[in-house]
Amino acid sequence: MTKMLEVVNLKTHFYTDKEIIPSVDGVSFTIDKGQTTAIVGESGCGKSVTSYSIMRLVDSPGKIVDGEVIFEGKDLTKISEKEMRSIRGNDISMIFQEPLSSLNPVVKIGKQLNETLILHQKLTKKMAKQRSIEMLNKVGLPRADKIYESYPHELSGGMRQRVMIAMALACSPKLLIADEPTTALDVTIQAQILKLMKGLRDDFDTSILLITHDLGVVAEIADKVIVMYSGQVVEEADVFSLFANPRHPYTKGLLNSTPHLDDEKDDLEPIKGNVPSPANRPTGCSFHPRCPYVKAICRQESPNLTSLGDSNKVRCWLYEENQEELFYAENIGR
Amino acid sequence: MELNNQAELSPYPVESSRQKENMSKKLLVLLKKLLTSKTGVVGLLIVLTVCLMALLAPIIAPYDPNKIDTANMLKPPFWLINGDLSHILGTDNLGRDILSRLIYGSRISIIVGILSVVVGGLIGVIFGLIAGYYGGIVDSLIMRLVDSFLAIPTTLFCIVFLTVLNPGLFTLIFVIGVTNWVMYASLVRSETLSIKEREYVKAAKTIGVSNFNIIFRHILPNVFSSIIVISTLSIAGTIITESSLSFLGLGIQPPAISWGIMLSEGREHLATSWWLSTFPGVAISITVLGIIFLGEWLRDVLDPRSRGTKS
Amino acid sequence: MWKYLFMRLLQIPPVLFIVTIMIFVLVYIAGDPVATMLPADASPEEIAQFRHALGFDQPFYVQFGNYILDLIRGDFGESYQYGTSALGLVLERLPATLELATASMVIAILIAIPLGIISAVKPNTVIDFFATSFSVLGKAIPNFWLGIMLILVFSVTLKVLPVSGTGSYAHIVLPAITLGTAMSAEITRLVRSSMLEILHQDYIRTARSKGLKYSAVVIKHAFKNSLVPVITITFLQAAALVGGSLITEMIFAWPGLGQLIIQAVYAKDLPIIQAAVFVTASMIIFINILTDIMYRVLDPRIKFI
Repeated sequence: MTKMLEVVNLKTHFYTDKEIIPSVDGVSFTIDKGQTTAIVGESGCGKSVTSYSIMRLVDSPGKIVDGEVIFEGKDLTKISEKEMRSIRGNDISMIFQEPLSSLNPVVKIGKQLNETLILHQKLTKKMAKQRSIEMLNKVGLPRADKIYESYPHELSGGMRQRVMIAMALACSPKLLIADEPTTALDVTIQAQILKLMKGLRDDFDTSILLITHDLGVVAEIADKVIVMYSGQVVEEADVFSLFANPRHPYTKGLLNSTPHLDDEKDDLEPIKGNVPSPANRPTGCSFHPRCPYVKAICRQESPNLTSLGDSNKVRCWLYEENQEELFYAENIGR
Repeated sequence: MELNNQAELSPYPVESSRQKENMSKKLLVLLKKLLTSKTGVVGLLIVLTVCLMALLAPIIAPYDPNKIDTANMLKPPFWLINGDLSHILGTDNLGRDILSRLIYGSRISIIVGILSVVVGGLIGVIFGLIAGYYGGIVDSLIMRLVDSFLAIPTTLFCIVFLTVLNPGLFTLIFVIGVTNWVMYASLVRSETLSIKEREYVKAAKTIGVSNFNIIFRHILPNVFSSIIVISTLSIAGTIITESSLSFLGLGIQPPAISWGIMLSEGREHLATSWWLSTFPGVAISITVLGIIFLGEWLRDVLDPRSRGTKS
Repeated sequence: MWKYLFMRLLQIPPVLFIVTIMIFVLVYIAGDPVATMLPADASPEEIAQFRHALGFDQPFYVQFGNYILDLIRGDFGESYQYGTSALGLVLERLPATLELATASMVIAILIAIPLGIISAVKPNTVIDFFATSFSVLGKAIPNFWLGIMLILVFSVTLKVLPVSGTGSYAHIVLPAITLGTAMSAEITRLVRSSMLEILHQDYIRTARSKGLKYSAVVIKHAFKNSLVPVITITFLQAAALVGGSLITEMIFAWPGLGQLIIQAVYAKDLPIIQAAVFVTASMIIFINILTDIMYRVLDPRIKFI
């Protein structure tokens, strides 16, 4: 499979008056062509900041301090702002969690759609309108020409998210980043939007990077899953192995705290404790205060993301036996 | 223990010894917060200086502000040729010491500034409480009155009424105060409207607390911090209004001293003696600036809605 | 829309009526002007005759009734100074005031909008510091003093602009700057604060994610949203200008309504004062309604109810 996008050791830090907050702390992963990759994690784990970093839309005081984002042979963190602009909305586009606040309230839907087309495809206004209405039809909006003339507040939540998708796909991007696209929507609408995204992914041959905290959504649409915790990737696996055989204790915890209809035991097991604040992470493995399998080494040294033979990876001492022995030899065994 | 809890849950200030202790603690916290805001400190310092100047004018002023000295007319400030340290900021066309006149002039600004805000505040708060609390036809009537006052610009209103009333300090305070009430009335009305819908006011009503008590013990204390904030800020406006009216000869009458009068006297000598009309204006601007700084800081600290919007 | 407009227009008569009462009360407090109008040695019969001719010997309610009737006919009486229709004199001076007001608004907007936008886009820079200082100072410096200082610098010292009067474009510069500064300070402050808030909105991120230039995002997406509050405050400031121009016109001897009013005040020329207050109040009420309508037209989220 060909790589669409490769993120290598990405670090995005936020600089406040008092401290440096390493929101994204050395994240690496790849997105394959035509696939849907999901980044999963609790709020504050750095998954959204990762996606903004790819688009270079991190607002001050945030800054990409290290790492590479390779897209079509170019490192997006190094190219000029002008070059980056020609990629945004054209090759890589994005949809957001809250469709109402993500659409400009005083600009008509049509104008917001046309903007991208006129900018990147150099269409005339007339052609752009034609294409916009075509896109609105494609995302399943009835009476597209009427919606074209509407303002965002005149539409329902689901319709707005369809508009956002139409806008994002208008220039047939190679990669679509969807940041919690269904979180703000009703459950029934969620299912429709996911179905739409799946259909369009195949139509447009677009890869998707999906940011979510909802494992249900992941099961529905993703091919590959990246689990993030505390600014780092803790597990990377294809969707089947992840659900069948979660490796990292955090992933196990996440799965146990998600309700399943077909499950026999009906009591959920939430993960104990809270996500550590990014400014004040524990030493060693940052998950160790909440981990049921915690060992001495976990408290002192951070594990590496290790490959498990197949394409799956995990960041946990439980799977790094050799290194663990080495550690003991060096420190405790002496 | 349970009693204590109730006092804490109480939605309006209950006077008790424990609360008074808290008051002084709160004041301390407030002062500490003041010190973190640079403009707040500057504002407080300016306001304190001007107030001290007004209070201690006879002690700190080097000369009698009305003493005419024909030997020293239109003397420039000390750093210019012909100027010397005996008259630091120079003298006016009658040889009166400008610095002394500035110091005495602060008295009028402070008195008119504060008292007209008190007059306007009293009228406005009462009308606002009545309009907001009773609503209906009373409310509409008061609001139309507010609209009418808003339709006549402050300066025009003052000028026109000062034409037909006998000029003087109290007329001036009253007229400026009257133009001010509208602002308080609209603010208090809108806050009253929202407060009267709250649970504890409804509860007080159901147990038969009189309207008078509800208004003054439940609603007014909750509006109080907003009133303090806009009162402070509007002192700045009244000082400017006072000086413009005195400038026009419609406010304070000589021999009383006002920065506005000094400006209008100095204007006739603009071509030759710039300092006459420059220093009083500087005095007004600095005083107003100090009040704005202090008022904005108060707003940031006391008014939770504006918190965080300033960056 | 029309229903709203109608409801809004219905509020005008009561407000104008109260304004009228206020003007009448004013005249009533003033007492009859006969004493000031006749020579000091006028005989009691002459005074009585004069009072009768002007209707000042009538009871209060008759005077008020006559006053209202005259007002409906647009008759505020004749100026004591000029002997011609007071309303006519007021309307004659109005264009000059409007000219000055327009010039100061143009200056205010030209300064405030770019300054406000730039300081919001680049917070905590030199230009932002300049903009915030300007918006505070503009409020703290009394208008009339600013006028005097401008005369001192540009007319007396540098001799580049005329001290006062009319006749050329140069004459309008100083009074327009004087009036425009305070207004501009207020607008700058509002543009800055509303832009700061808007630039953090989600739809700004969306616009950037489309690949638009940041300048295009700021102007097409952010500024369009701040237009609603900005236009509202500009209109309200325009209403305030009508009052603010009084002293400025006097200082610069600008032959507008303000100068007429001040002269009338010194001459205790009540008919002119009444007519001027009435005309000013009507203008402000009109501007306020216009503001309300603009506000609703600009923001598609507000529906006309």
